[in-house]
Amino acid sequence: MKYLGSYLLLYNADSYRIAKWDKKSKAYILESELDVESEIWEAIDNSLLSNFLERIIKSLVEHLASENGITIGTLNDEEEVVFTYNRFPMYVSIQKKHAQFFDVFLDFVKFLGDYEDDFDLFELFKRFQDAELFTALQEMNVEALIQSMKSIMAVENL
Amino acid sequence: MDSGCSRFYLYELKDDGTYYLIDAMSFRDARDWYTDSKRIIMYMFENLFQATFETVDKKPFLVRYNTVLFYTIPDEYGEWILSMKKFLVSLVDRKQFRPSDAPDLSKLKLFKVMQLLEKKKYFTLVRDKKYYEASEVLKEIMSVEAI
Repeated sequence: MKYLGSYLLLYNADSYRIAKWDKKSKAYILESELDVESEIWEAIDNSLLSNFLERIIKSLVEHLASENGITIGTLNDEEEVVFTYNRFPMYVSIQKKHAQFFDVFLDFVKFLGDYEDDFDLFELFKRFQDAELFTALQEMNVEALIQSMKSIMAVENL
Repeated sequence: MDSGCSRFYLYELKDDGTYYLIDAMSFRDARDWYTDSKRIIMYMFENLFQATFETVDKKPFLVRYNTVLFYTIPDEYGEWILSMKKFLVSLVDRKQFRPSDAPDLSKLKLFKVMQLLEKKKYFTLVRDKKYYEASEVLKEIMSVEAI
C-alpha cells in the first residue's frame, strides 16, 4: 500500500475513520470510527447538540483539507459542502494531534449523549463558554479543542 | 406577549391604554431562513428562549385567547426578546428576510458568532437572568460587526 502519512482521516458517506500506518505490514490499520447518523443523530435527541457536533467534525475535516492543500468540496448553497475528492473514500493526511482530537471528540459525543438525560441548557452553554470551546472552534486550534472538551467532561455535576 | 407552538408576539402598552403589537417571531418558520450551519444558532436561541420563558417572572394576562396564552412580562425581558429577534435576522443570509433597519451580519460564520457571544459572557448573563445586560451584548455585537 502507498504511504500517504502516519495518520489518515477517511470520509465516506457521513462516516469518519482514523487509520494509522503500520510499518510492519506496510498498511493502514483502522484506529477509530464515527458514524454521524448512528452515533450523533440517533444517540442525541436534542437537535441543537446533534447539529453542533456534526458541524464540529465537518469543519475540522474542511480545515484539515485546506491545510493539506486539498479541495474536498464544491460550495453548494453557500454552506453545504459536497465531498467529492478522488471518488470515495475521501482521505486527508493528518498529524497525531488530529488523531487524538478524534478520540476525544468520540468521548465528547458519548458524554453529551449521556448528559442529555439531565439536560441543563444554561449550564452546558456556560461550560462551553468557560472552556472557550467556541473560540477554539473559530480558530480551529486542535490542542485548545482537545483541552476544552476534556475540561467540559471533567466537571462531574454540570 | 403570548407564546405557543414556538411563536411569540410581543405587545407594548401605550399611553392610550391599549396594547400594540410591536414584534412577532416564529422560530419554526425562522429555521428556514438559515443555511444548515447557521440553523444551529437559531436552535440555540430558541432553546434559550424556551428555557427562560419557563422561569421568567410572568403573570397570566388573558388565558387561552384563540388557543394562545397571554402573559405580562418584565420590561427587560421584553427588550431582550426584541434584541434577540433583531440579532437573529441580522444573521440571515437572504436579504429578503432582513428588515431594512437590521444590520447585516450575514457574513459572520457560525463559530465566529458563538465566539463573540462567548467573549461577552452572554450565556452567563442569560443564565443569571441579566436580560438587560444580555440585550446590550447583542446590540454591541450588531453595532460593531455591522460597521
